[in-house]
Amino acid sequence: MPLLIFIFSYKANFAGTAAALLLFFAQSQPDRHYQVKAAFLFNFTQFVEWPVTTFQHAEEPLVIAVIGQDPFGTYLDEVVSGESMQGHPMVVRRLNPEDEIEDCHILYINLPDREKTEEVLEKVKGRSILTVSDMPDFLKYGGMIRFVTANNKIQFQINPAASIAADLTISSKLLNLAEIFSPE
Amino acid sequence: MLFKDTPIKQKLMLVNLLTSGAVMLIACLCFFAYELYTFRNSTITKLTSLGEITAANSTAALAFDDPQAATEILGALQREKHIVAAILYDTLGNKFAQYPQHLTGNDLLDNTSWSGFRFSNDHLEGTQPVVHESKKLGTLYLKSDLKALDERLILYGMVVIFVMVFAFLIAFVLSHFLSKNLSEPVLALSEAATAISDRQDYSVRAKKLGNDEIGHLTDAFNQMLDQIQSQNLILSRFNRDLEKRVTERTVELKVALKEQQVAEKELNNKNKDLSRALEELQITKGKLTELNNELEQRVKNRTKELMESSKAIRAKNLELEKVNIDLDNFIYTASHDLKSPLSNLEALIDIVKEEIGDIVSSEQLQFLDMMETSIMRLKKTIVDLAEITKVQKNFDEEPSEVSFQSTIEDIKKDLLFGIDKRVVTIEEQFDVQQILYPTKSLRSVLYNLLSNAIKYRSPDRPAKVWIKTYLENGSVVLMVEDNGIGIEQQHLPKLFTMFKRFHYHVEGTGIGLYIIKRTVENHGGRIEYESKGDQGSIFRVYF
Repeated sequence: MPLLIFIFSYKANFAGTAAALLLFFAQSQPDRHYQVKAAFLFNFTQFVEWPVTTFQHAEEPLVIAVIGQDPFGTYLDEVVSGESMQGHPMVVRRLNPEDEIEDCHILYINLPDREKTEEVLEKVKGRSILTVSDMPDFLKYGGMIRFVTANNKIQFQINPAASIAADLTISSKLLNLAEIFSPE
Repeated sequence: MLFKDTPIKQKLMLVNLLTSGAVMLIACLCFFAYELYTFRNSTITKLTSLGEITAANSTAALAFDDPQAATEILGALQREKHIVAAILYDTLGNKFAQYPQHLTGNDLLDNTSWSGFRFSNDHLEGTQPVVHESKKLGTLYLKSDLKALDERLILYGMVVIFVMVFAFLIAFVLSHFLSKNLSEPVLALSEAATAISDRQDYSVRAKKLGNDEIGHLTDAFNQMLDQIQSQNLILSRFNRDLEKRVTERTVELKVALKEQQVAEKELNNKNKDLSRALEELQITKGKLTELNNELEQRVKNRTKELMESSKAIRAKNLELEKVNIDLDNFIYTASHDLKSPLSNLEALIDIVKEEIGDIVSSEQLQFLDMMETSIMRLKKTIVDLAEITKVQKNFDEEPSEVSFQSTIEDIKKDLLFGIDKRVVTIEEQFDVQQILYPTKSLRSVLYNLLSNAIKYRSPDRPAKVWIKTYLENGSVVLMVEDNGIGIEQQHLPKLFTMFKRFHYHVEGTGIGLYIIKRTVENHGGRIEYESKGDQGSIFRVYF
C-alpha cells in the first residue's frame, strides 16, 4: 500500500510548504483532498461488513463504483490496485447516472443536484451498498456516509439508520471516528 | 560446638526453632520466588493483552488519520495506573498519538522491528503492532512501571514475615511444652548430680520420670550411686584406719627423727674427732715415714751384716760337711775294723763253749751265752751303723719308676721268713701303683716301716698290717697301719731320733725310724705319725 504511506507522509508535511505544492498541482491534478478521500473509500472496506449473501463466490470482486463526475482522477485506481478484502479483489467502476445501477459494494455519488442523487439512492435502496458522497444533506436523503472538511481535515458523518436498513454493519471503531447523523 | 554451655531445655528449643525456622524460610523463599516469577509473567501477559486491545481500538483512528480519536483511545489507559506511557506510531514510525498528553520525546519509533514486551531497568516496556484485517497500520508502544511488582513484593514480604513470626510463635510455644518432656528428666538427673557434688551426699537419688533411654540412664545413675555409697562407706572406714596409722606412724617418725638428729649430732662430733685424728694420723704418718726410712737404713745395714755372716756360715757348712764325711768314713772304718775282732771273739767263745762245756756249771755257761748275746748286739749295731752310711750314700742315687707292689713282695720274702703266716696278715691296696723315686731309698723306707709293724705286734691278738698308697693334694701318700702295741704319747717328740727305743722286749737298734725320716726328708718329703694308743700305729709318708 505505497499510496497509503504516501498519504500519511504527505499529511505529516501538510501543514508546511505542501500548501504551495497543492496549489501548483491543482491545475493538472484533482483536488488533494480527493486523494485522502480515495484512501478513505478503500479504508471503509476494512471497517464495514457486507452480508454473506452479497458475494456469489470467493473470488467475486469487491466493486467500488463512482457515479457522476469522477473527482479522483487516478487516485482511486492507484489505492485499490492489487488490494483485496477477505480474498475479494477490489475493482473500481464508473457508472452512468442514466443507466441501471449494477451490482457494487461501495457507491460514491457525485451528482450535481438533489433530485438525481435521490433518484440513485432510491435505485439502490434495499441493496447492501454503502453510499458515500460529499453532497450536503446527503444523509438527510438517506445516504450513509458523507465527507466533511473541517480545519483542512477530512472527516465524515455517518447515518447508521441507513446502513442498518441496507443490512450493512459499520464497525464501532469507524462510528467512533465519525459524526453520527440522526434524522429528526 | 555451638551453644555448648546453654541449658538443655533451651538447646532443645533452639534446635526446634532453628529447624522449623529454616524450613519455613526455605518454603517462604520458594513461594516468594515462584510468585514473583508468575507475577512477572502475568504482568507481561496483562500488558500484552492491554496492548492488543488498545492496538485493536486504535486501528480505525490510524486508518482514518484521526490522531484526536487515537489520543482519546490512549487516554482510556488512564484507568491502568501503572501505565507510564503509551505512544502510537504510524507505519513510517512517526508519532501519531501519545498518552499522557505532556509526554515529550519519542517522536520516532526507535526500533520498529522490536516486538513484544520485556523488563528494562525499573520498567516493563514493549511494542505491539497495530494490525487490522492483516494490514499493518502502525505500532503501539507501552511502558509500565514496576510499582505493581513492588507492591506485590512488599505484600509477599509482609505475608512471609507474618507467617514466619506466627510459625515461630507456634513453634516456640509447642517446643516449650514438648521440650519439657525431654529436658525435665535430664534436669532432674543433673540436679541430683549437682546436689551430690555440692554436698557430697551420696544418699540422694534421681527421680525417674519415664521409661525411655533417660529413664534407663536415671536407673543406671541411681545404681551407680548405690555402689558409690557402699564403696564410700568402706573407703571412709579404711580412711579412718589409715589416718590412725598415719598419726601413729607420724609419732614414731618424729621420735625416730629426733633420735636421728641426736645421732647426727653425735656423728658430727665423731666426724670432728675423726678429722682431728686424721690430722694426728698424718702427723704420725710423717713421723712413721721418717722411722721407716731409718728402719730401711737399718735393714740395709743388717742385710749387709747378715750377708757377711751367711758367708761365714757357708764356710762353716763346708767345714761341717767335711767333718760329716770324715765321720762317715770313721763309722765305716770303725764298723769294718770292729767286725773282724768281734768275729774272732765269737769264734773264740764257741771254742770255749765246746772245750769247757762239760766242766763248768750251767750257771757259768750262762755267762758265755750272755757274752754271745752282747757280741750279737754289738754286731747288729755295727751293721746298723754301716746302714746309716749306706743311706748317706744312697742319696746320690738317680730316681726311677718303682712299683710298690713288687718292692713289697720282695721285702715280704725277707721279713716273713720263719714267721707263721697265721700270726701276721698283710693287706695291700695300691691306688698309686708306681712312683718316680730312688729304688733303694723306697725299699729302705718300706722295709723299716713293715719290719717295725711286724716287730712291735701285740701279743694279745694276731697281727694285721694295712699298706695303702693314694693321692692327696697331688702328692703320693704311703700309709702303713698296724694293730700293734703302739707308742706312748710321752715318747712322740723323740720318735724319729737316732738310737731311741721305747720297747726293750724286742730286739732292735733304734735306728729304723731315723733312717726313714732322713731318707724321706732328703728327697723333699715328710713322715707323720698317728697313734691309736695301745691299739696300733699309723705312719703316713708324703713323698
